[in-house]
Formats: sequence, structure tokens, C-alpha cells
Amino acid sequence: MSPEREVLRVEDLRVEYVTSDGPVRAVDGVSFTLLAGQRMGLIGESGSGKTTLGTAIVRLLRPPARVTSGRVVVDGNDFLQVPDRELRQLRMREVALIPQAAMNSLNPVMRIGEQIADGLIAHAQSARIPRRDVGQRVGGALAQVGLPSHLANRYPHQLSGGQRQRAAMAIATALQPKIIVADEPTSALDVVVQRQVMQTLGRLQQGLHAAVLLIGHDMGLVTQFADVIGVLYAGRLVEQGPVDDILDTPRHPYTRLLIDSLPSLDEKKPLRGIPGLPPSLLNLPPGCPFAPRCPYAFDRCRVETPVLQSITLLQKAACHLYPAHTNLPPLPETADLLEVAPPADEADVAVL
Amino acid sequence: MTALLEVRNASKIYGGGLFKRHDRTVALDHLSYSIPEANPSITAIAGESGSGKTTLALLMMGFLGPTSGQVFYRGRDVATMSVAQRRLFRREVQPIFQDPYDAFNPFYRVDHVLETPLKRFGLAHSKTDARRQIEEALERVGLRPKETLGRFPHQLSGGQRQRIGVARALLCQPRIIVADEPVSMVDASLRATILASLQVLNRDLGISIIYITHDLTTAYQICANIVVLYLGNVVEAGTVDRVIRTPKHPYTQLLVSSIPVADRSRRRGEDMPGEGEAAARPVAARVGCAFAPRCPSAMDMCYESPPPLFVPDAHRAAACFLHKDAPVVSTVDVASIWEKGAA
Repeated sequence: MSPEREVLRVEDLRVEYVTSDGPVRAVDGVSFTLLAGQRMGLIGESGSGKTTLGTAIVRLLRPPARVTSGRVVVDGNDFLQVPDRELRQLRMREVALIPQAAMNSLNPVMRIGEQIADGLIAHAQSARIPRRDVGQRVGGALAQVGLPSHLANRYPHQLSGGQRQRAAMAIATALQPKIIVADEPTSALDVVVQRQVMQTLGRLQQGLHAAVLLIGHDMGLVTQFADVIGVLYAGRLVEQGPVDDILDTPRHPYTRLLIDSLPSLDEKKPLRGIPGLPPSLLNLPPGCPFAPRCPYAFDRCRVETPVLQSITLLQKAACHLYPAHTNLPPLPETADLLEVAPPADEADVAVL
Repeated sequence: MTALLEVRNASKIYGGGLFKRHDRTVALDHLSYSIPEANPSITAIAGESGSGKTTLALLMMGFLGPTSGQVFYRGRDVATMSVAQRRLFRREVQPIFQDPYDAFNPFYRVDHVLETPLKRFGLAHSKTDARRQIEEALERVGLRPKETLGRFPHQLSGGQRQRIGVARALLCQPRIIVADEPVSMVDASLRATILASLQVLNRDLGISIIYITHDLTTAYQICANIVVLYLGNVVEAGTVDRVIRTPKHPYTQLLVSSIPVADRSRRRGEDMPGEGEAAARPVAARVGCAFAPRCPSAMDMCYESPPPLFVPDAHRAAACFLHKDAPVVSTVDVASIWEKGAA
């Protein structure tokens, strides 16, 4: 197996929002690399900085957000330093964003085909697309996302929710980008349609041999799609590694509790949330941002911020339990976790 | 067995009007469902958007009247009940709304939303009594009164606000709580605590809970029974163990197989049965089974007449001709499907 080429490297990226109460650091020293054809999932709850990170990578941040340090290296060049004129040519061709609620971002008074053609024409020179080929390329873009070419003549309101979402994906990927950043591409879609859209994204990724960064809050959805995942908490990557390793043996307590809080279809188990609340990024506690909610936290966690360290060859975690431990120890008995037993009748039957 | 709340043969049709007969949309199609006085349980009403689940919830709470059929509370028709009866109905059947960000008036402290029902229904005899009740309710849903009271909604997280919504419902001393997608807008790490507080209300206070959702995994975890709706019709109903573990209706099977689970050994296949989406059809166009156009097992008969609810095994019924050799459900009340089986 030949090693894949690296297409994206994010190095120590920091993004701040300027507010009247001071700067809010939404992305705080995130680093990772993506190989050609790799599917990476980025999991985080609301306020964890996942959308800011995705937007920063495609350089679409708007004030009051600004990148304060770090690099986004696309094919060897720092994407953040590219002059604006070049940037317009690189975006969509190299890096494409499928934004959150993309289906609502369609222009209601333009036919789907015209909206796809728009991007193609804007890049006609640099991508060497002759005018006469545009129509054919529009059909190709629709085919990539599994939509029939006659939908090019429709207006957005004539399509169903799933079709609109796929049309938005066709616009984003019409120039066959090498990197696709998909920010919650299925939020607000029903579970069946969600599955279709995820399959479309999977086929698209395979067809283009593109690297995909899938951003989401749904652990089930992201782990079904991705090969590797990163877990974001308070703007920091707290765990990173191959999906199977992380699901089997999560190394960071937050990842572990997040996995435990997922309701399963196999057994009825007590519902278990994560105690406490995500921290306010405006005044982060000193030390590890997860410490106030962490059942494993000890003194060091409250003063010193842990850095991401390798636990195994492929898995990394930012936690002071390592390198003293190799695995997460069993949950401490004193853990103040809200627990509620499953409905009494079932539990009793099982015991009797 | 007397019913506390009964929806009898109710239909709800939106749109239409005098000149637009063909634009009518059937949101709910002759549905009968009752919540018994005894044995309070948690029941899920599940389905995709457009399935009629929210319409059913609104009918149950009296926020909407049925186009045909009736809704009874304690034996009285909600449409014609007296002022005093309606007051009791309004107090004893409480909603929990989907969006914790929209349900609060940002100008009032959260105390306001908790005090109002006590005042409105005269449930507290003094200020200290009101305060005690509020603190008790907050603790029941896992909130510390000291850290909650006196705050404005924007100072609380979505999860906390949603639990205040639960506490508010609780202060009315309800018999039934109708929760419409209570956790769909809340973060994963906080969902469990809200669902757990619903379980506490059911188990410790004997409140029946209707849990409206599209999420079958949480339904499986907290509910005893489930009703699956598709375009206003019941397609499958029964105990969650039957319906979610071994679904018999092709639509329920599609829903269950579409759930993304954090288990890579069960990667969902690339084949996609039932391509296409639910589209509420005009009344006249629907002759047979509403799901037939998307159904992988559709037969000729599916397009000829709507399937009745068959009972392929105890505690469950499915409206599908695949099970036509099984007996047909004997009563129209959906709740009797699991009640009967229990006997």
C-alpha cells in the first residue's frame, strides 16, 4: 500500500472573535493533516469551535473572527497567505465548503443549473473550461451527486429537501476539488434522507478521490462515515485517531463520556449525560477546559493545560492521565453522574 | 378501563378551502388513540417530518381542533367543554416545546415563567409556598434552585432552559405531558439528563408522557410503547421491544436501518431502499397504502386499498399486507394494541 499524498495540513491554528468583553478564542492551537482520499470526522458540541475551524480552513471567516496564528497548508502552500485574487481561483477548485444548512443557501430565483454554471464560469479561465462545455459540466456535477440532469431546469422550491441538499453539494463540488469541508451537511434532514445524503457524500468522495473533513455533532453519523476522527472541546482537539480505535478504547474522558451518553438500540441502559456544562470560551478555567466536568480530574488538571500527546502509534489525547496510564482507568466510584434506571418493569423481568 | 385523554377517529386536513379543493393535505387520517387513567407510561409518537406527529400532539393538547372526529378529556369533548373543565384540561395536560431558545420571553427572569402557572391556576397559597414548590420542581429536573432562579434565559444553556420547561410543566401538577422533540435542539452530552428527568416524572409522579420524536434510539431507551406514523396513518404500533427491535412494517424497517449507530461493525449498506421522500399527497390521489410508492415489497393489492392494522404477534400491529394472514386489530384505538397484549 503506497502512502497517500498529504493534501491538507493545519498547523497550530488559532482563531479569535473580538467581542466587547475581550477576545474569545474559538479555535485554540488545532493541528492535523489530511491525506488524499481520507475521510476525517470532526466531532464537537455547539460552541466547541467546529464550524469556526471549518470556515477558517476555507478562509471564509468574517470579522469579528480572525486567525491570530497558525497555517493551513494546501498542497504545500499556505492557503492563509494566498493573495485574494488567487484565492478566488483556488477556492472551489482546490478546497470546497458544503456549508451548514446548504439547502437554504440556494438562490430561490435562479434555476439549479444556472447556479452551478455560475461557479464554473467564474473559474472558466483558470480551470480551462470552454464556454460550450459548461452545460455538459453542469450535468456532470449533478450526476456526481446522483441527481438527474433535467433538474438543472428546476428552481429550488421545486425540489425536495434531500434534492436541494444534493444540489448545493453539486454547486460546491462542480470544479472537482481535492478537499471538501462538509459542515453538518445533514442537519435538519429526516433520518432516511440523511442516510441518502451521506451516501451521496461518500460516492462523491470516492469519485473525486477527495479528502473530506466532515464536521458534526452526531457521533453515530460521523463515525459511520469517517476513517479518522478528531474530538473538539472548547476549541481544542482533545482526542484524535482512527475511528475504530477511538470507539473501542477512547483515551480522553470527554470522548468516553460522549460515547457513553449515546443511546443504543441493543440494550436499555441507564441514561447517562455528562455532568456540568461546556465552559464559556470568554473565561476558560485555568488548566484543562474539561476538568470541571471530568470525573477523573486531579489537581494538576486544574492548573496545567494538557497538550495532545501520542498514546498509541495512531491515537492521540490531551489528558494528564497519560503517559502514566495506557488506558482510561475504570470510572471512579464517586463520579457524580446523573443516573436513572430503565423503566422498572423491564428491569424486574430481567432479574426474575 | 377509563381513558384520561381520548382522541377518537380524528382527522386533520390543512389547506383546501372553497376554491382549492385539490390542495388539501391530510395531516392525520382517522386516528384513534387513548391514554388510560391507570398505569401511566411513556409512549413515543415517531415519524419523519410531515408524518402528522406534531399535529397529533397539538390535537391532544387542544391547541388545534380536528377537522373530523373528537378529542375527549376525562370523558368530555374538548371542543364543547365548560370553562371550568377546560381550565382543568389546560392544567393537567402540559406541553414541553421543541426549541428552548424560542420558548422564553427574554425580558423576564426565569422565575416569571415558573411563577405564572402557580398564580394562574391558584396552586400556591402563599409566597413561601410558591417558592418551595418552584425549588422542589427545579430539583426534580436536576437544577440547583440557587444557581437558576433570578437569571435571565440568555444566561442559561439550552439544556438548562429545556429543563426549566420541564419544571414549569411540572408545577401545574399535570397528569399528561406532551413533549414535542424536547431534545432535538440540545447537545448530545446534555440530552440524557433531560430525558432522564422525563423518566423521573413518569416513574415517581405517575405522569403519562407522550414523547414526539423522529429519533428511534431515544424512544427505545425511555419509552414503553411506540406509534409510528407515515403521512398521517399509523403504520406500526406496539411495545418498543417489538417495534424497534424487530420491525414488521417496511417503513419502520427503513427507519430503523437508517439510524446511524456508533458501531462500525454495522456500517449501513450502500443500497438504498425506498429512494425518495415522503410527500403529502392530495386527498383524492391516495387509494392504497401511503407508503407503497417507496416500498421495496409493494404488491398490486397495496395500490388498491389501504391496509388495515394486522396483528402478526402479541403487543404489536402493523398496517401492511405482508402480514395479511394475521388477524386484523379488533378495535380502532391504537393504545389497545399494547394494552390488550399485556392482559
